[in-house]
Amino acid sequence: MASKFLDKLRRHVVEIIIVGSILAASITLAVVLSFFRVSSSIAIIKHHNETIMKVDLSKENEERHFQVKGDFSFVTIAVKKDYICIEHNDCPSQYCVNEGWVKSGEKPIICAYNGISIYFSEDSGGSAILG
Amino acid sequence: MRPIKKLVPILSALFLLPSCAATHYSSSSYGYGTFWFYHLFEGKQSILDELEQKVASTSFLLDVDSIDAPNGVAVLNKEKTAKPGSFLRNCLEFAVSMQEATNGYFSPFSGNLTSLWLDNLGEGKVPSEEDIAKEVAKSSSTYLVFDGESVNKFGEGQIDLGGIGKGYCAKMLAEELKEREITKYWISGGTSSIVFGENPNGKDGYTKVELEDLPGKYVYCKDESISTSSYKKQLYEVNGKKYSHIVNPFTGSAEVNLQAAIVKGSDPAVCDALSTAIYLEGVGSISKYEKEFGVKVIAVKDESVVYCSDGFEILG
Repeated sequence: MASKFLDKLRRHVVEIIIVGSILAASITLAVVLSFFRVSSSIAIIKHHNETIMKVDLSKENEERHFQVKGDFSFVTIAVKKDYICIEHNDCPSQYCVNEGWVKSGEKPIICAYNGISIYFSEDSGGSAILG
Repeated sequence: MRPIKKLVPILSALFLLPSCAATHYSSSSYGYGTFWFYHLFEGKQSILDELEQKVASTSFLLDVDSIDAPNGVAVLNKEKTAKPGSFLRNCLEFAVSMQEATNGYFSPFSGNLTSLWLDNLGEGKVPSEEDIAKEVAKSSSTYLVFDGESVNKFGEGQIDLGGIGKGYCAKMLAEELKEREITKYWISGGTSSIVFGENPNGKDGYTKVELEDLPGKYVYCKDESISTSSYKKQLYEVNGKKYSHIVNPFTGSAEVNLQAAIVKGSDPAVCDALSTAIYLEGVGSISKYEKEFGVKVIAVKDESVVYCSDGFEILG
């Protein structure tokens, strides 16, 4: 019984190697692709439709602060490893400031008053915000 | 040779395996005074560019300040006549139909009344009774006549389609995607009007929707749309009274009653208009809209649910 099975294996050894190799390559590629999709930590900062800058939050080892020009005033943005926030904004509602630190890949930060938005290039789109 | 032939289907399937890593294109653009977020789970990147372009161009037409927009709302307000293209014309017709359907609680002619309030609230005061009465009279006596290619405005009220613009545009984008047989997506106009297809990254194709008016609570949406009218992001306080950007076209008051009216249904434009009407009319108006439009509604006051339609499940 066992020798018959081994015989069959020997006869199809080429096919087995081909299928096995393709299977391994495909799985590896799929894993790599999905890894890159979800692990991106690029925060894109826009003023209206213009991209002002892109920040890779995974490389921000120390907290730093910078300003971008909005419609009515400058907006202070802070970044640290894997996180970003609007630290200061002169908008009346202060809603964007009250969002606090947002982790990379999570919800966008919007200040419609100053026309500034921060979103993540590879937000999975799994959830939306209504408010 | 024969065994190899038998393997062809298997080999083909294996070659396709990497594509199982879910397709997802996302982007953001500015239009209708806010940011739009696009998530496509099929199709190609260039479709997003086209959607962004449509949002920008239609936003320009509806912008009350864009006098350069040919035959746009700003021109119609100023010249009282225009020959708008199909998008704006259909949007105006829809706005008038929703004004009738809501007995005037959704009004497309309250532009100056809203500006009067926002200008005053921005300076920490409320407008005078006299100024409010003047603007209410103007908006309530304004109407449109559709005459062939032309649209003519009669009356001194200013057209402002802010109450339905995002919903109407979201509807147009959803129709555009349907024509291309794209069913896996969601698109958000700001955070107040969202249209959903199927979401392969969500539970059973549904997208989780976090409700900012009810912290920690959420609902699920799929192949439908959801809109909210809420004061949360535009709340003003003068002499201990709370006011918002949504003004009652009958009384001219911007004083808040409900915190938010959340409307879920098949048509994003209808949901957008109804959320404004329900926000102003209050809970008593909801059942008639449920019956007439088949929508489901959540009404929020002081961060508590004061009404929730049967079958509209709030989780969390």
